[in-house]
Amino acid sequence: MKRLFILSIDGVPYSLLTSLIEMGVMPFFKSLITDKGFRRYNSVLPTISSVAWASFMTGKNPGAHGIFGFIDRRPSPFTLYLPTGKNLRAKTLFEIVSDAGKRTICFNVPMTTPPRKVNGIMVSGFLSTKLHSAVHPPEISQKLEYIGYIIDVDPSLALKDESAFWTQVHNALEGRKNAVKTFIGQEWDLFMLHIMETDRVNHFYIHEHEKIRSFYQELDHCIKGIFEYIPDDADVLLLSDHGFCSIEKEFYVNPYLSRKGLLKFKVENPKSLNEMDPSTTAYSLIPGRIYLNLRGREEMGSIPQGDYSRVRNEVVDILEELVDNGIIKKVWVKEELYSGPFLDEAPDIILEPIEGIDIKEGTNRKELFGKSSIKGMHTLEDAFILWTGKELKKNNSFSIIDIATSILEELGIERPSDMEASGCIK
Amino acid sequence: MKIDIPDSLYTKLEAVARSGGWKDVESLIIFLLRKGAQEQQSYQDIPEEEKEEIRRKLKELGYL
Repeated sequence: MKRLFILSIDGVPYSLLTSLIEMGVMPFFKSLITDKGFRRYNSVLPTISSVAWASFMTGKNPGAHGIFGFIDRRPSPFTLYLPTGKNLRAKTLFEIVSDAGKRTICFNVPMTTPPRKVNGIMVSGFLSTKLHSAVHPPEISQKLEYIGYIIDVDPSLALKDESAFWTQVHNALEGRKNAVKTFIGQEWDLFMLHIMETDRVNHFYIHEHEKIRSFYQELDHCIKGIFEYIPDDADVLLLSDHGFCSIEKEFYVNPYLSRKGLLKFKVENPKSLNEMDPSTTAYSLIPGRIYLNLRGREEMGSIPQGDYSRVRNEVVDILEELVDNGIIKKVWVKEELYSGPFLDEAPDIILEPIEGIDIKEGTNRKELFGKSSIKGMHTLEDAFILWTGKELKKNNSFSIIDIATSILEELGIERPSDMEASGCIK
Repeated sequence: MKIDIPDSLYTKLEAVARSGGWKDVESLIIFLLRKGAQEQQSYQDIPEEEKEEIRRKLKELGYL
């Protein structure tokens, strides 16, 4: 039976890859491309790595796996919290593979914190901060420290010590390569290595062409180095979870809702949503997730259950002006995007951004637009996938939810009957 | 051994089992209990100081 090596590279846009290849910056990556095995494809909404990789790992939409962002809220009592793998309430590929009696090795995939007890190895991604608690089985943490493996770079360095930031990026890439070198000799059927550094670099430097060129050249060397360890009998799948583009400006949703009289606070200068007034109609979490203040659901709910549809339609009508004014691309209601047992946890309304305007929460702001030290934002329709030796469906005809089924088929494992994924191989 | 489960909880578990790809509710319950027991023994929830570090990082990346 075949085995599969997945190299996931966070936030690498298809469009950037193709232009760097044209410029001769990524010769090794170019050598992997075949006409039918390299595609541009879609991420999910909201276009956030935790949501995208959760959808990839489960083959399900957020309504069926329960992850909607890096921050979420418990409506009553109103609490903001950071979802981890514990909040991912569906089986992942790694567990399905394990249950089929196969062995898996998984490094650094977002939303695998804390590590799940797979048949094999799991090293959590960046929601873990300490190696010793990020690994299964625990005894491999010392080996990882020895080979210089780090979970993530410190993004604050990009702003205060750029040279140290690039050194950490370089060391992180070396650590990923060393992890493959160290563990690929073990028995495995599915090996997945995730590179997070691309997302970090893109967030701070996407607008600086020379730095991007230089970094992607190093990435190409790193990919080539990893490929030297991959055995010939393994197929290889490379993919990102979303695209990236430069930010022209940020749009702050909560000040907008306040101006429209939909969001009210008990204090004049609110610092957080905990200071919301019960008369609020709607509030937002980043990025563009809007919740109605529904009675019986929210701690201080004011909208009667029977008025839900009417009020939501009214809020949608107000938000449509943002589409008309070119500030957002589309206003969605949750049933249009999600389905499943966790639909009741989904935002009631979701704003799809247009490229260049990054949607933020902005609770402590008065202004609607601004800028920050973050220069790059995620894009929905510009992720890439490259599957050696395969003919993939046409560009943008499938999403990150669809890939899991094809992975299981390649491994000869029956897909769970409720897996939504419709496959990406033609 | 038999364990009584409230009907409402069982209904919810049925939905989770269906959507989560489990063979039946029983295998889901065994998985959850085993996972819970293992977590008690080894991996605790993320400590508060680590959560602060994660919060800081997510903020620096513009995710919060």
